[in-house]
Amino acid sequence: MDDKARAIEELYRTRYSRFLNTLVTITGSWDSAHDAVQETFARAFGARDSWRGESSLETWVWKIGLRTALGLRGEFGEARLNGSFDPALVDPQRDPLLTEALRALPPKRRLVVFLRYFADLSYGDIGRVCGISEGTVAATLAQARESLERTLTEEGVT
Amino acid sequence: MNDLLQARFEPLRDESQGDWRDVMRRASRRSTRRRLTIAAALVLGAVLVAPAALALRSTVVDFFQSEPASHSLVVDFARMDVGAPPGLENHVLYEQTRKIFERKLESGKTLTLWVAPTKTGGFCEALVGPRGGGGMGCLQKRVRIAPTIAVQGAMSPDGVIRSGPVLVSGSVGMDKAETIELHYQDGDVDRQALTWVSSPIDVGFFLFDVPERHWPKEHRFERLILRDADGRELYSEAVTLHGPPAMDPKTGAPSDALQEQARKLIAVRTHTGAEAALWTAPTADGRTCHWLRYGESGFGGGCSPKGAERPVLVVGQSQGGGVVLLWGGPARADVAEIEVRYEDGERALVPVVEGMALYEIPPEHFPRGHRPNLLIARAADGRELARRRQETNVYGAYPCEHPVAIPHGYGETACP
Repeated sequence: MDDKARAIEELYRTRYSRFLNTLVTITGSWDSAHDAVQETFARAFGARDSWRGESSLETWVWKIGLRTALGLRGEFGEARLNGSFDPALVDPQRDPLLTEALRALPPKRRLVVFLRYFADLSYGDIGRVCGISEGTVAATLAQARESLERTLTEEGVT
Repeated sequence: MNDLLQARFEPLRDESQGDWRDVMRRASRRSTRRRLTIAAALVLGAVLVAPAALALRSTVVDFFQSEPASHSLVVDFARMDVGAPPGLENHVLYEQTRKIFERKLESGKTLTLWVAPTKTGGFCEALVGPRGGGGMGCLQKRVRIAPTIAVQGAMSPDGVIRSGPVLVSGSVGMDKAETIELHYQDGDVDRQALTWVSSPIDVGFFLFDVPERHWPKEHRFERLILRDADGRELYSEAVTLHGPPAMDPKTGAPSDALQEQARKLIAVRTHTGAEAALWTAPTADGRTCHWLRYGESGFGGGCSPKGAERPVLVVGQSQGGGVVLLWGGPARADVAEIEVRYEDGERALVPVVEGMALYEIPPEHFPRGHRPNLLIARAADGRELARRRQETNVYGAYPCEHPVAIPHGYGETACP
């Protein structure tokens, strides 16, 4: 097995659950999210020679992951992250207030929140995955946090 | 707030492990399909002079890049499992339904094949016309070939096709298969390239629109043959068009049964006062037929093939007219009785007569918490031969007074 293949396997073994938790917010079910993660890594493995190291391997695989998950939803032929997709917590009953607060955010900000808190991506990586600047990520997250804080505070639960 | 959000997300995470071998398997299949596509492109120049059998190359559909189904079709796929009998759910991943191909038939009608994967590694398919409808079916694992024959027009009781279309369609699970041939009794052959679909489906699909000249009995299709890229035969399977499943309208007996020799094998007086009875009769060619009657109506039946291996425990469940009947067989010769265990701890013993069993589940065992949840086949000396768990958390399997909306059932209602 070549170096890239080993790196992809290592990424899978250490980050599987992060991909799963994030992509399920897009696909809407755990089964299809698992399928999306498997398909993401299969595609990445098959296309590893096309990764030239312009971004980190993880960032590159995340891009494939989002495209795959969005494809599963059938809403995008080609994934466009500023499109009309609608990421959401898949088990809203586990935290109804957080679900409600997240729903009040625009979809793209919601995705940034999920990439931060489920995928544990850095601001820089989120920016590269979503095709926006690091500053925009910081501003988006700040706005999202402020909005969430306000909503959750109104509910008296913070 | 930052840490609070972190703490809020933390318990929502799923920490399950993945399956790297599955990733490798998928990657390998993707690679195989890509090679096939490249091979097809390379031979393009040779196609003009190649013999017909070699001119065809399978096409490859990238499942996740294919057109997603409309909402109404996704709902149709979702409904396949709503109220499915215990153990017979397809577990279809309906939200992933994709278009595989579209074919225009001789009649001018266009059919579209839609496919969705299942959780268990299989898939469900539907051939749909312009106004919807069409047959749906599922396959839980890849098989060499899984053909379906459909006469979508009229067919007389004695098997004469009066109108079409007549279709032979299905899937192929042999990786090397490139083309499929439909052979007719009069020597004609129809041939087409398979449409392979990438992971997670991983099978090839075909659809033959049988021409009208091949509708008469002596000109009908008789065999499907799979060939590889070099035209070599990989597998052959007989395909026969049978007439409609004929049952005697008065007795409910299969038409092949010699009714003058029919015997009532087991009779049960149900709680409604009507009798449920299991009947048997031989056929002229040595098979044995069984059928179930409840009151004045038939509950279905069939004729076992000659020499078929008998399972140890084969019991189905039928519901109608306010009764629920467990019935089954023919079971292996050493099965003497079937023990029925209920969720509430009660038990019942059902005798097996000539390999067959019939038992009414009493109405007090219709509600949840009281349903049969285990069947055990026992020998005459009480030895356990086999056991099977019965799913109890099902909708529509037991009668009730007030049907309810099925969870995620798209408005369908059923008894809880």
